[in-house]
Amino acid sequence: MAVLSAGLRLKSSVCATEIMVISGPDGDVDLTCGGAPMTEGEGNSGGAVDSDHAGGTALGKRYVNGDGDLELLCVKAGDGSLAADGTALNLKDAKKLPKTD
Amino acid sequence: MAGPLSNLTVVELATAIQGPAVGLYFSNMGARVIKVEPPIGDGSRYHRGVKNELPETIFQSQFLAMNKGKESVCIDLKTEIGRDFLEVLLGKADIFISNYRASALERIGLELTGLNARFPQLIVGHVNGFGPRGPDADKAMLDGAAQARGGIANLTGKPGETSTPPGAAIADHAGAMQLALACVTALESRHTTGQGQVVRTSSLGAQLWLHMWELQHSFLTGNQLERVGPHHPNINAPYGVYTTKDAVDFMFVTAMTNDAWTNLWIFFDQPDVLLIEEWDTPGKRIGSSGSEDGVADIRTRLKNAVALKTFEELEAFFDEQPEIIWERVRDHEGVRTDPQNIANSYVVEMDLPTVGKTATVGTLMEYSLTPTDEAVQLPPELGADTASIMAELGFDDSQVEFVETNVTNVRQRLLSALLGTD
Repeated sequence: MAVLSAGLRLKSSVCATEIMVISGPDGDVDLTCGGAPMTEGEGNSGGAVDSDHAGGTALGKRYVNGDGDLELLCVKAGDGSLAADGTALNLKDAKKLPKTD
Repeated sequence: MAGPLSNLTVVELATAIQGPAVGLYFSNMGARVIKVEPPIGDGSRYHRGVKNELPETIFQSQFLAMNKGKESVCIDLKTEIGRDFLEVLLGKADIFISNYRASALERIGLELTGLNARFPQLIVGHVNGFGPRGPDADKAMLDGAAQARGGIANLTGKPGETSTPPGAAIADHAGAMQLALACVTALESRHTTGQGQVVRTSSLGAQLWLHMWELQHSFLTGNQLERVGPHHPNINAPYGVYTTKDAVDFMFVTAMTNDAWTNLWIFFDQPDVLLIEEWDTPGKRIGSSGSEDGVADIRTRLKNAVALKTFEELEAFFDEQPEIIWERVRDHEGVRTDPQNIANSYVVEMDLPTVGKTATVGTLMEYSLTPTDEAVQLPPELGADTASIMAELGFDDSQVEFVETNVTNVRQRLLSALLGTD
């Protein structure tokens, strides 16, 4: 559990995924990747990605929770998928620019 | 010659760049361009420039660049037969172009409105330094003077240091471009009115045309734009030239999408830059609302990040990012070999006597119905077409001989005086 403040960088402990927090809620969040807690330290320690959390992350993509108060940026892709407080995060849709014609 | 203007005859009485560049435009478009040169020839025939170990007898670079595809008549317009010849020639021409000073033209009987009166069908095109009216209407000008007076030289260079004019004769070329456009406009007008007219442009006016946006900003806001080194004085954004670890300069213009901006800073391993709201939209990144401190900060971040990468690393990344606008700052060899220039025939090959194959700038315009010649024409030797054109206009052999003997004598006298050998 950790407070996810903007700019905080975290690594998966079971895959190559690395993220940076764009925005987070006020309280603690249990952030996992591949089913294991993310850390500020060494990263992948050799554990296995949980098969229920193996959707993978994509470089440069943003991930959000359902409440819209958590947004993460993937700065290194990996095999695990992201979840906050046990709920999978979703890929943020790119905002469409308004049509000009 | 082929091209959209192959029905036109243009008479050029011009020297150096600004006037001959107008003639070159018409030559490129297929017009017959007759260059009338004084006994010593266009002075650009003798301009050797720097680092030039090639023979003095070849076409020198300035003359070669501006005079391809023209014909040359060498005749002394201070003689009666010279003036007679020009009168007959202008009677058969569509356009007359000159960058001689108006006072010099008047001394040889070529006052512009008088020409228009004598040849009502003729487009009389004139380009000078500072415009046809005002106290400096007849003031001498070379390219740098117009760059200085027109304000552009004040916007290039490092802040607090000496102004640095662009390293190209942009004032001359811009004045020429405007005159070519003005002549074509007058030709179109002739279809309606049935009359030619005098059209005038200047290097000074062209300098204002070249940076209308920047001038308008200063005029409108009351705040003078100032030079900012490798950046643009009116774009408050990262926009500018940056140098890689291995000393390659490239122009970073902008990241047009947020994904591209994200990828850029992930590539630099500095994703925290993405948290800076001042740059988080495409509009902000092209300078819509940047603050002075914010601009300094993002430029420093980008400069430092780029300095840690080799050009090869950057190029490989940029090649995968079509939404990032950037270009390497190329030297002239880079321009010559640029596949884009070659594919568009912007740089073409030509055979030059003595030298052999060399590159030159091509026509640069493409016409679907009336394409221009692909083959590059050589410029003319001085007076190469004097005899044939005089004969074409009805002058006899003795008159041709008189003209050719006269210009040879005058040329020798002038060269002796110039070289101090008399």
